[in-house]
Amino acid sequence: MTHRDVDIEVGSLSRVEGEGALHVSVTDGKISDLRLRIYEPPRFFEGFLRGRGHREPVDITARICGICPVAYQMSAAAALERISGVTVDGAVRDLRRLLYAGEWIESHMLHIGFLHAPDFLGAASGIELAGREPARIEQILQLKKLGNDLMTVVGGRPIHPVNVQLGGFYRAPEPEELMAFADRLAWAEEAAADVVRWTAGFDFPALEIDHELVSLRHPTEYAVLGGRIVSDRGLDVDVDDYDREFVEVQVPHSTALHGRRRTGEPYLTGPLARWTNNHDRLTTPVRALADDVGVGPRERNPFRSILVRGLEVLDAVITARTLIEGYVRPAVPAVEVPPCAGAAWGASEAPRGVLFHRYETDADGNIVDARIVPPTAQNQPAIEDDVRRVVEAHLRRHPDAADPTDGDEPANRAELQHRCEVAIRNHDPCISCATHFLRIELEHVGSDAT
Amino acid sequence: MSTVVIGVGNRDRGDDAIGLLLVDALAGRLPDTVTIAHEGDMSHLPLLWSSEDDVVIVDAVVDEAVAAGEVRLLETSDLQQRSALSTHGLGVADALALAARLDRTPRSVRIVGIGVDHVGFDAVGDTLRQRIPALAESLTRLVAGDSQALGVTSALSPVAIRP
Repeated sequence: MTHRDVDIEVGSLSRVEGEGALHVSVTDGKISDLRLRIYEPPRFFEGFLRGRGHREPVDITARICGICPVAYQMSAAAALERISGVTVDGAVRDLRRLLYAGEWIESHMLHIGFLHAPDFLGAASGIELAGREPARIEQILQLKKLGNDLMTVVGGRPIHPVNVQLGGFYRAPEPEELMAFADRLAWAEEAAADVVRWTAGFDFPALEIDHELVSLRHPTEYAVLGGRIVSDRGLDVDVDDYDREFVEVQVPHSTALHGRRRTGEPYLTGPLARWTNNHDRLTTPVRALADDVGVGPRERNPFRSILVRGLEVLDAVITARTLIEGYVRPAVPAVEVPPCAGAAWGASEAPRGVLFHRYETDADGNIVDARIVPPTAQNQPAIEDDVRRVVEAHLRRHPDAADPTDGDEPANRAELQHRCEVAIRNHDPCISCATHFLRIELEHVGSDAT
Repeated sequence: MSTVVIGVGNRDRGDDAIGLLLVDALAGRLPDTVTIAHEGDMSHLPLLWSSEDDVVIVDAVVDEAVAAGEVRLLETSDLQQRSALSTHGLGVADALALAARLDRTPRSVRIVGIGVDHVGFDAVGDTLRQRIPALAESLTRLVAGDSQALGVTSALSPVAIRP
């Protein structure tokens, strides 16, 4: 038996946020090791939140991500307001939902048009795709910009909103500022549906995942702001029960903690989970369109997550229209959240899945301990499992995939690289806000090697 | 058809805010000119103009050869197209490439680079802040078509303009 390393360089796993690598070892035709390596340095946000006042995490944690800062703000606010026993409702909560709708629209449209659709259409990038389908990409850009503009009118700017504070906002927009969006939102309802129909025409590989699907569930709304933690296998607990049900595990090959169930099983959070657990909370036009394009109430093919994201954009657009039409400017833009000793979890549905925050504060409101559990960290084991399935399927088709004596080896390897990248991109991972690079090392070990 | 002056950058990254601050300073000073301070995602840039507009993009330039406050007129070809292909990595060159594919290339594009020396996690540095009035005056003259008076002799060879 000989041992041979084969390095496959993917110039850039562009269209994924962050630095990652994938290592695959194949022994006697079977995967013996598979690791999605995340080697970006840890960013220590949880560490430097300690000692800060209870009003600061809303601003500090927003800087973790330029795509989903609102998720960080809302999950932080949820936890800290729970500690103080404060409930934010009425028009101020509606403004939070509107701000979040903007974030969902911009984040999902970015992924659909620029990160995911190119995989199905054989384009290297959204820019290349724009050359082939300019009207479609412009439509997607207009939708994305609408999302950022909603974030601007409510949050003060298109990224890292500065108008958000614990308990609400510094300033509530005037009704006419929001009504100025009426025509664009009416257009967006048609445009979002049109994008969904476009993606429904893609050729989706068959892949049914069996991960437990975990999301929030709200009593009346499609889960975004708050709710209970639920799963398609019957989990239904308060967010404060996170530690009883879930665990974060450190693994040598990732600087991001891996999320698992207490049983050790991986689970998946994100659009597929939200959709499956909250289908009955969707607006009627979204369910009707889903029926039209063949998306059922349970969706387990991660390649088809692009369809779910599009449908969620439509839901967000309809929600934004409804909120704006019913908007009455609140008398005060924020509820007072007094400092209080205590500890609590808070959660909201970031575009990529549930984002958990937990804070412990002293009587002056100073942060004693902070934990942040982002969706991509939770999804790492499930993503690795998806990649494993993809590699196994490839090896069944090409048993000599890493054998350089096989004349088809370069093409096979390129195909494998692409399939692995797509399997990762299906979940829109936000590894971090840095460079974009995936390196695949395919190690082929076996008696069939020379 | 109009002139669109777009400042890009980040107000929280020191001198990288200079494009935004200059556009703020120009607001209302130029007739028939739209000024836009564009923060964040460059993918939206092509939506800010039409193919009939004359566009001026003002951005910070990090280059050892360009002193803080020094102004350079750049060609599209001078910009490094990063092609990171995540919008985290999109730059002005990518945005112009995207505009071309969307058939939204403006009638003309002038890229004004401002040399910077301080890109930290705070506000614009004193060196550049003190030069904002003079830089804004230079930009005003440039937009008005007075590039010769500013010493620009060739559009193909970037020439420093010292306000």
